[in-house]
Amino acid sequence: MSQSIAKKDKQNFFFLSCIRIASIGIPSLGIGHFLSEQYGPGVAIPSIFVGNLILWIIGIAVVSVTNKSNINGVQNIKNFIGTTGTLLISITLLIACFDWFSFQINATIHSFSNILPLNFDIKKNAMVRIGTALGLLSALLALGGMRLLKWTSVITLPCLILYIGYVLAHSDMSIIDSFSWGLSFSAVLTIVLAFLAGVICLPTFFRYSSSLANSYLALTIVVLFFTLIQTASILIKFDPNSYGIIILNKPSNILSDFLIPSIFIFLICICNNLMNIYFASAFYETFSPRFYGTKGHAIMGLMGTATYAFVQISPSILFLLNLITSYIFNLSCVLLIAFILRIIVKHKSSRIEQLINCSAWIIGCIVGTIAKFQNPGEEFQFLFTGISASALFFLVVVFMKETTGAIQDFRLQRTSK
Amino acid sequence: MYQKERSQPLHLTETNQSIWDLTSIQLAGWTSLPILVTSLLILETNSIMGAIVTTVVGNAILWFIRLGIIAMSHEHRKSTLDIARDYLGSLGGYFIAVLLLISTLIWFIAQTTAASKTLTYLLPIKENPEIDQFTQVSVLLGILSAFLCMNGISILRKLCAYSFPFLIIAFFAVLFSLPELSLKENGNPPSLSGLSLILASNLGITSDMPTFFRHSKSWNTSVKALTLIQLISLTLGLCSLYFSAIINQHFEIQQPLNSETGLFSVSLIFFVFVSVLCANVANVYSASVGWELVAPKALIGRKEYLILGLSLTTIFILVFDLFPLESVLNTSDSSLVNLCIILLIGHIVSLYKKKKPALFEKVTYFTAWLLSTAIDVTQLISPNLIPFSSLMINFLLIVTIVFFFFIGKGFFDYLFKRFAS
Repeated sequence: MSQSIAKKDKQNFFFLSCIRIASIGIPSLGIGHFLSEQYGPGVAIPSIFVGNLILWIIGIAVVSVTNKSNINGVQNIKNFIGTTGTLLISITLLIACFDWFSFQINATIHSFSNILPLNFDIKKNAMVRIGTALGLLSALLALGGMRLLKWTSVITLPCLILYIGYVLAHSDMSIIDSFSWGLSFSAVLTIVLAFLAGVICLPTFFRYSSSLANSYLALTIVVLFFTLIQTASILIKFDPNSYGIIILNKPSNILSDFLIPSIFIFLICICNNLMNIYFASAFYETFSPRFYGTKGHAIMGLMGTATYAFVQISPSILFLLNLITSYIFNLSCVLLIAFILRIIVKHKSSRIEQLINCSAWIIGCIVGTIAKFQNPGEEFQFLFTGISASALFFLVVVFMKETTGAIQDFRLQRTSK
Repeated sequence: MYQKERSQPLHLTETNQSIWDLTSIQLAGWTSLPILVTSLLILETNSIMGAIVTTVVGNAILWFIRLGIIAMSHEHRKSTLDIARDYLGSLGGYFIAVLLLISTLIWFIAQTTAASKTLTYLLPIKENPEIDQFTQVSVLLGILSAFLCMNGISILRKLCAYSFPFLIIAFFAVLFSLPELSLKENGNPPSLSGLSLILASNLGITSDMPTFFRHSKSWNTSVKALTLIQLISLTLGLCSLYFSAIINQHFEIQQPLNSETGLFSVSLIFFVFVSVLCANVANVYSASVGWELVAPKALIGRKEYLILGLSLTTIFILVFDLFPLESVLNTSDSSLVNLCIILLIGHIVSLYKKKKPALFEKVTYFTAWLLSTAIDVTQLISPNLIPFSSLMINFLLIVTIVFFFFIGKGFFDYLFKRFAS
């Protein structure tokens, strides 16, 4: 069931890109730096460009499919996977959204703890409380709907631009001379995987777009901006614990060393959490429209806050959340292949196709889970195993289905002759 | 025009609440540990027999006062704030709205903090030492309260109606599994010395009653519900005397518990947990009438309970346990008691004059309330400045101001008539 978007809520490319850019999230600010540490700056920069280009192509495909019908991300998934599969996926995505919500608050708190001049004991309790208050505040602000999210993003975007300017002004350009250029498949994949779930869920925001051209333009601006942010973080040295927020030295000036970074961190966190709440809202609205609107947003915010306060600390829960993240990546791959196949074969959505897609996803999840249990310490292998299983099952079944269909068509043609 | 629009209650959805609904909201919503502890405080200065008599007399007086307060709200289903505006004027209404919001915030923080401390004490969970269990319990209570605030009176009614019987069962389970079920004579002479304490701790709640009783099915239902509330309160108040063995005046469990008291712990955990949630939801609903007056129009309606619940919880999470709230709690409660006294006096004057308060009367009542509240604030700043009971001083001050204002007005009216003739 799609909720109709009022004309006054329609947004142009500027606001759409503002919303998506401002909600980049604190951990994503430092992803370029992480890649640079792993593969070297010469490999990280081209990989970031290629990764973002792939994301742009996927984004264009997703936006094109959903633009005419004004459907959200989950309704789009429903077209490919069917109702039962989407219910499972919605539950998975909901849990993932709470995880992201909690992860975002955690990253914010880590960044805060780097700039707050407090002793450890006071910090420990204060940080849990500040984190919870941030979650609750996000839930409160989510009551303001799309309009509040839009204006929060418009305020945050200049801060982000200033941040990039600051990073580039303080960057160590001499490291460019020592670059040995190259491209890494793993680095590209890391970039793609880090933002793929966000791209799959793009329709949840882009359904507010006033036209397809606005959507394309917004997507392009977002990808360019993300590329710039990720590249900029390569050029500066910062504390790895700060999640991409630069702390040059111990706080001495309360305005420049404490107040301005705090406001920046706060705004980025709020924007990202508001976006997470909106993403989560799409998952339950599809099945329970009575929660559409402010009440649902408040519930999502509260559940995200509860996840932060109670769940995030337990290692077994972190293990579970790793698995859920892999399920989302499986889903993204299945959707992508299904989408490409639909363009090539030009079939209409059928039950059998939905069943194949759903089965491919479930098989990928099962194989990924087994791989994770067999080798719990490995971070990426179970992910690739799951995705490979999904893709293999999908291709084999589609091969069999299309071949069988072709034989049946051939027989029918012969009989009719 | 704006004032005229606001003079009618906004979105009053439920006007068919039964005796059980009204009773359970009042008792489950307000009968939490801080209220029960009143009995313990009476026992500190009174003998056992004296405390029993004081509790009985206090409840009888409360029934009478509450009947008058409910009678004010019955005719047009007015909330506390609507009545306050009738007697204190528009400006007074804004003051009372702010007072209701502040009082709600402080009660929310005080009750949730007390409940968190009790639950942390009672729950023997061994966790990672890096996790502060008290903070986690506080966060849990805060988040659950915000969840339950969402639908205003409808969820409050259901929550209280369903949980109240279980609360009563838990209360008696706690009582009968107390480590020591006996009252020891403390040597104090029998007196009515705790009467002002009962009135002071209950009149603040009394002034909030119209907000809840405007949902009553009929006047008859309201009176029956009130009588039932007083009877159950009396029983709970008397039984609470036995709690002096385990609870101190800061509403915290003071006796070390051993493993043999499983039923006691479970019942007390349930009682504290559910009663604090009911109290917080009732608090938020009570504050919503104040919010409707002071907040911008865009933030009123279905959203207001969410805004209040989430805001209160956020503030609570940030400030709980940072500084003692007892003095501020007493001051805000005293201000509500002053309001209750003024509303009663105003109602009696209106009945006598057989007309609604005019502008002069509104100014008089507002001045009386403002001055008596100023005394409370002075006491908050310098606690030893006024050695007498706050309730007594405020009552005398209010009566004196009202008396002199009316005498003065009569005198000027007389002079004016003389000169005119």
